[in-house]
Amino acid sequence: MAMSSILLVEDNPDDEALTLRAFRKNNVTNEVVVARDGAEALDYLFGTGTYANRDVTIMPQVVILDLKLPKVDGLEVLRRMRAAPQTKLLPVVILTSSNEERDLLDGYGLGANSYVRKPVDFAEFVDAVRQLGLYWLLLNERPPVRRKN
Amino acid sequence: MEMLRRLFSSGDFMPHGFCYLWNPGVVWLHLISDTLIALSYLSIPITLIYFIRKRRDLPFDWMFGCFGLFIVACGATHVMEIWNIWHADYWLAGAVKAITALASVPTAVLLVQLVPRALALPSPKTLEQVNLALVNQADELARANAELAAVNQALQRSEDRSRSLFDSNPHPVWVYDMPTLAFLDVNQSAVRSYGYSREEFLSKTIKDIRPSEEISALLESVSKAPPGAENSGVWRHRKKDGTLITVEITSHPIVFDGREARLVVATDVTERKRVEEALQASERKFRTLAETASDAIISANAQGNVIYFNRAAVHTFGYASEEVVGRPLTDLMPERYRDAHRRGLDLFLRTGEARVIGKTVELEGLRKDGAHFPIELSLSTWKTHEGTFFTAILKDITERKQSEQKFKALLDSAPDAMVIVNREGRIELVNAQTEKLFGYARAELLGKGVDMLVPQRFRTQHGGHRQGYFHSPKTREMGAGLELYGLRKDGTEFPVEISLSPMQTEGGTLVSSAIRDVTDRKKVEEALEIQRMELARSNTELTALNKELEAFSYSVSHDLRAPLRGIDGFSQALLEDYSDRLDATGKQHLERVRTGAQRMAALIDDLLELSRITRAEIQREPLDLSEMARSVAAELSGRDPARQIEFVIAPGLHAEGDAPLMHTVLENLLGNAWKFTSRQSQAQIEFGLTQTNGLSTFFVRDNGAGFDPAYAGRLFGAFQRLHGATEFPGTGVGLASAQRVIHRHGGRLWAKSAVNEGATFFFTLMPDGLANETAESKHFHGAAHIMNSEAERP
Repeated sequence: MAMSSILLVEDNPDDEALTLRAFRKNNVTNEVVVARDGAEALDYLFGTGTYANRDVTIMPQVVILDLKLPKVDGLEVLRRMRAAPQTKLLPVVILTSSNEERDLLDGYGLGANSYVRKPVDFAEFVDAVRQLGLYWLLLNERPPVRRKN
Repeated sequence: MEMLRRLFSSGDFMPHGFCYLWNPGVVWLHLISDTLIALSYLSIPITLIYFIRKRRDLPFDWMFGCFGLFIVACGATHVMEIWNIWHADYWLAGAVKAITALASVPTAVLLVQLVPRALALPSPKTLEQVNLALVNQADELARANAELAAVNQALQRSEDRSRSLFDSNPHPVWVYDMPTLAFLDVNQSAVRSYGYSREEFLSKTIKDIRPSEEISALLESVSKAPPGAENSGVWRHRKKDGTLITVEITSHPIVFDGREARLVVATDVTERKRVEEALQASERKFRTLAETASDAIISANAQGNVIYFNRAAVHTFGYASEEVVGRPLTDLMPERYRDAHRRGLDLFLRTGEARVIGKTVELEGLRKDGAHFPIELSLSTWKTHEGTFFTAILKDITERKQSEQKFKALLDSAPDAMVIVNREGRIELVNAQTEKLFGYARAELLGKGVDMLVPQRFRTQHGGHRQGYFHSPKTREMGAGLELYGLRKDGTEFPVEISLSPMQTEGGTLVSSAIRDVTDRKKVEEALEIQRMELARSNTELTALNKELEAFSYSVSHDLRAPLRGIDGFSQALLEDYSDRLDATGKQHLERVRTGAQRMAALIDDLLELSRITRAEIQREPLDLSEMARSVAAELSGRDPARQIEFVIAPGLHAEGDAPLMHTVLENLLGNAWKFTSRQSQAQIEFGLTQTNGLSTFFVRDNGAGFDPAYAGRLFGAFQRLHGATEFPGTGVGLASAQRVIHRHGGRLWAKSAVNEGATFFFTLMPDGLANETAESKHFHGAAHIMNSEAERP
């Protein structure tokens, strides 16, 4: 089975670097596509904008979604994903600094599959990412992707 | 026959002449003498018979008869002497002599017997005197006769008068014959009254004018009629036309035309009887009415003495009728009423001026047992030929008075002014509040128009509204939605609120109005309105502030932590990737950078937690705090399994509270205890329930380091720490958060401790003010919990 990609939606380059480092530490070798704001993430997913030529039949194994994003925020991205048939069942893990109750409720309410708070302690972060990887990339069966036309 | 033959035969005897020798002289002498004797003897009886016949009053006339017979017999013997001169019929002569003897002997005997009685007869001398007296009497008689004639004349006149009296007597009068009961005479009135003519009456008996059923009684009465005049009672008579009348009969015996008779006077009492019966019926009716009346009825005479006391009066006063009748009325009234009563009675009798008569007044009565009681009395008077009388009708109004008093007390205790008004708008009753509110004395209001309490400008419409209200009276507010005002005696006005309710009374419908001065309330309302607006404004501000705070927290949560993550993450990366190029000091510096970043992250998290608690809405629900404490304890133990800590958690501690926030509280308190017992070899943390001031109070007790009570004031301040970070770690936010949660539940959090003596944190979950209301049930509840907790201790 071919290694599927991970879509990481993250605007903070520090967090991006640390997340990727955490993936590496956990031996996650899947291709990681990074979108730096919500709009870019949506473009990637739906093959619009700069990703107009992308083959949208190929969907990432999992979307790691920050909430506080420029342009279109994370929750809006999640809402649009859940509204579109091709991304409706795509696993989404919210990975964010906030543990505000509001964010948690909204996230799960819009159909996030998991919610992980980015800890300040990098060791804990690595641990959290490890658990994510184990679950979503190794154990979970990805839902079938419908081709266009 | 032989005997007779011998008697009339001369036989062998010689005629008596032979004895005379037929001497003519002797024969003649005997012959003439005997003849004369015989003739005389014969004439005497004839004379006697004549005498007797003429003098019939002669006593002893039979003696004259005997004497006459004796003399005739003697005469016969002399005849026989003559016969015997020539004829010798001596047997016959002897027989005649024997007859004479037979007549003479009894006569002689009877005469002897008669002598004493004959001697008793007046002698001729006496008779002579009598005669003389008689002569005198005759004179007197003559005189008397003359007088008698005069009397007779007078009598005649008197008889005429009697007749006229008899006839002109207005009452029917008649005379009836006692033996036959036939009418002997009747007067004109009888003829008029009974319808029979005089002739018809005289052809009847008194039985004919009676109804048949009374005849036997009549006969009995007649047979027993006494000799004197008598009142024979009341009878019924039947007139010619058949109508019955009631008559009172007086009769007395008389001799009428020499016959035994009775004179009867009949008085027609039909009308009187009818009136009497009607009177009796009326009297009975009155008695029945009076006896069954529920009110006491007492009649008295002009002397003020009781003459009648009905059953209700007996009941009301406790006296039997016979105890009171004849006693003065004053016995029935308390001392202080007696003088006024006597004066009033006297005044009325003298001048006819009545103060009480015809009115209904309220007084007091005096019962037999000495008790006074209020009565309502109405008095009337009536006059008869016997004088003036009074009748009082009275009622024990104790209950009414009591209920009136209750009503008045109720009315006076009402917080509102109560004004009771009749249909005409006259004030019938007011309470104490009315006097206070409007400034009038009660007497100034009673009977006046209620408009005096209404400002001038409302009066016209007020009258109209009142009429309307009486038309369909029901409990409602007056002038709903309108601003109403009352008018005080001093002319000032004040805002009022009035509720109306109809009252049905004996005097018709009244309307009761409860008037409340709402001046204060208006003021309060206005103040409240201002406060409310202020509150709304500050609320808006607060909401905005809250929103800002929320945004701030959100931003902190997201943005403030990110750089720290970078600091920590890249420090870690340096340590991992460049460890060969860093000496021990460099590595130590990087570790300090990481520690600093992590500590700041912890502070930010605690800050966010505090802010979250502040903003969170409290959602109370029943909580099992014991269960919650157990789970926190398990979490703590799990975090550091090496520590030996004994948790003593009382089971079944329940409270109402916000679940996540209360979890935070227990986390902080138990975590705090955990932290400060870290140096104790035999650490013990207890969670239980006690009572403070009747309020259920939870506590967390440890045997740890404790704290200096001098700094207890700083214990709950955010970021305040009583221990150095190297001694015990922490941000100083935990207790501040716990206190905030408890405050937001309305409770209190406090602590007791001394250095090295452990600490106890107490908290309640409701305001102290509610303690008394719930103390009972909570106490019981709490006590049960404590018992349980003790029971479960090892």
